[in-house]
Amino acid sequence: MRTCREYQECIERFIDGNFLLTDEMEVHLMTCSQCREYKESLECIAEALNGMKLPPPPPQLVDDVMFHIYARERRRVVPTFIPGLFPILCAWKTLLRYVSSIKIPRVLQREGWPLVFATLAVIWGVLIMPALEAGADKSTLQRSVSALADKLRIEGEKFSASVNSIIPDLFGDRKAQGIQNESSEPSNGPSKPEKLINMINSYNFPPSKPYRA
Amino acid sequence: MTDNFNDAVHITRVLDGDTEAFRELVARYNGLIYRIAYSMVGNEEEARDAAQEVFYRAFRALKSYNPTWPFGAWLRRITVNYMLDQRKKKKVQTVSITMDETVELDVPDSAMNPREKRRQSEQNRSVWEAMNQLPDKYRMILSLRHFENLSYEEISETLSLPLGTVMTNIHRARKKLAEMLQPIQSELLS
Repeated sequence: MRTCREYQECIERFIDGNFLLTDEMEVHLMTCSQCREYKESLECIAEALNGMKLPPPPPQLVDDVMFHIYARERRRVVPTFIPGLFPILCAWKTLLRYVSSIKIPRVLQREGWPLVFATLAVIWGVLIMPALEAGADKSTLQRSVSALADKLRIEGEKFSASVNSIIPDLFGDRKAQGIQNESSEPSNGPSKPEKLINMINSYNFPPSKPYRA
Repeated sequence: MTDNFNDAVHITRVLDGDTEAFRELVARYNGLIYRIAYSMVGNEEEARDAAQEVFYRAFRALKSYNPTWPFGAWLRRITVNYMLDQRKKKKVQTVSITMDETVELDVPDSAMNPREKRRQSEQNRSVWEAMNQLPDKYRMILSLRHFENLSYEEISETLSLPLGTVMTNIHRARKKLAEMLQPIQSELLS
């Protein structure tokens, strides 16, 4: 003879489709109001939960995730090289001691630490960063960034070429027409600034997905 | 099988340095991750942030991925661990879950009339709110069972819990939920 607790576990498995109601259980459900109520409430809850539909992911989630990955990877590269500055600093301090022992102008000695930082900045910018860039994984981040830069450059060139083509039309013939045209009747077509605005509006800007390869 | 093969191809490409290949994996599994995250946090913004972080963690941990496991199950496990960790941290700040008011949780059924639909929606909201008051481990286990439709064995693998514990937790979670919904049970039964 099972206890109510055991019957209730069987009811759960029945609700989940992992169990078939046996005659013994059906008899128990007829006689035990507690288990019967439990079964009814579980059926309602399971129905309500199974009927719920959570909202779908936003359409830009894939792009957001990729952007997040690239951004985090980019951030991760820099701090790993900061500990490398420590030996350089130590070396400089030793060097300064040596330099101060051989008679150098007092101004230079007084300005020692600013000099260290300035020199480190130069070393960082001129020697270390290019070396790091060269050593970094070009196949991932840099490739995407350079692809983006190329895309932006090409689109920029296209846009400037189309603007350049309309500029002579706007201003080039103005001098030739002279002042008389100023007072002449306006033409039926769109005016030249309107033409420029229409052209800018109709221009297809590249989609705003920064890291599409 | 084909999906697993495709996943393996993309994973190999990512490990070879082609980060863009990861986009295919994100596109395939973002729904799964987002749903699990949403069921735990209850609003779109946090669910999106969580999904981003989970994918980043998966990207970083891809070297340690065991190809004998389905990739979806591996991602699901990362998501569950991440969400439970986050909830544990947030518990210190006592942040309560609030669901987006605009989000509809019920299935839009064209056969239902608008009144029934509204009633159903309100019931679902009550069930959802009751579910949000459950402890995290119970809420997670119920959402895996009902929203992701996972079997007990799959839940056991995902949560790294013995099968018996999973069954006990599901039983307790439902019992608690039934107790919470006692006042509106007559409405639910109608």
